[in-house]
Amino acid sequence: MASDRKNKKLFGAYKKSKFREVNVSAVNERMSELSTFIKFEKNVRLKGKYVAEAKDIVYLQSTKRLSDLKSLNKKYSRVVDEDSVVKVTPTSLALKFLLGAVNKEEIASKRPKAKVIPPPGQFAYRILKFLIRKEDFENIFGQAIADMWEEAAEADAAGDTTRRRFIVWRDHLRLAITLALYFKVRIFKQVLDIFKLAS
Amino acid sequence: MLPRLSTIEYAVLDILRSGREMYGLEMVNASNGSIKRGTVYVTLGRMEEKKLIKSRAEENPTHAGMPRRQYKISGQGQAALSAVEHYQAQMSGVMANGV
Repeated sequence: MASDRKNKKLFGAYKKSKFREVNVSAVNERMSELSTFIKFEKNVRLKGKYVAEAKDIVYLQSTKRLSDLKSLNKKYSRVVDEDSVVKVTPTSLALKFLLGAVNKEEIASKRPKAKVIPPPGQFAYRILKFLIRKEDFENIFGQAIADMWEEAAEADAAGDTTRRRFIVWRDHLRLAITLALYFKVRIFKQVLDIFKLAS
Repeated sequence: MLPRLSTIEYAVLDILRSGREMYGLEMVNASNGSIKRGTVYVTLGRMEEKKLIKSRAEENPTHAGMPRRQYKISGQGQAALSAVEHYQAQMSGVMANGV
């Protein structure tokens, strides 16, 4: 048993520890969204999102950066699935589950060609999460990014790439303006506090 | 004392008056342009500080990624809304009858 485990490790295989059922939810009349969750290693979770009408688009999100995902794929080229070793990388396994659910739900009659596209604003998300207080990030900036994801996904579903690009640019500009105002207000409040203490 | 509500704050309370929980973008879409996307979350944050509304993070998010915050009108918000509307009704009565 121990040698078996050692062999699996040697071949870059990994037993998936947690897997959540694929969740299907209707976003609006035109669009359904599928999401799943697979935990591969401690602190590396993969969440997938598939917009049904945009047949070639799957958003894959991870708790780690894309470079970490690549190294995860490199580390584990095979996954132990119900005692058999499947030659599949962690990210492609996440996609496989999502697309399997698409066929099962008969949302798409033809198996779609999937490509991994990270949701817009990933960079802004990480930068702002680092810069802003947790409470303010969750209440203001995180919500604005979530809106951008939703609207961009809707534009994807409608196949309107121009609109998607417009939404991404517009919302990044808004985030930048809000960030500038946020720091302005915070500095003003701090100066006011110092002034109050001094007087 | 009459509570001080800005136009946007009034519009938010008016949308939430049914007691249904909504998130920011839903409110923007329901407001027919009276609430702007750029200011909605700052306004909601301020209103929460004033205890006019309550919020909680979505428990079972259907969307992958950031959990949405669902907003709901508070008792204090209901009271502020009725006070402002009562005042508006009184004022329009005075204007109609002439001073």
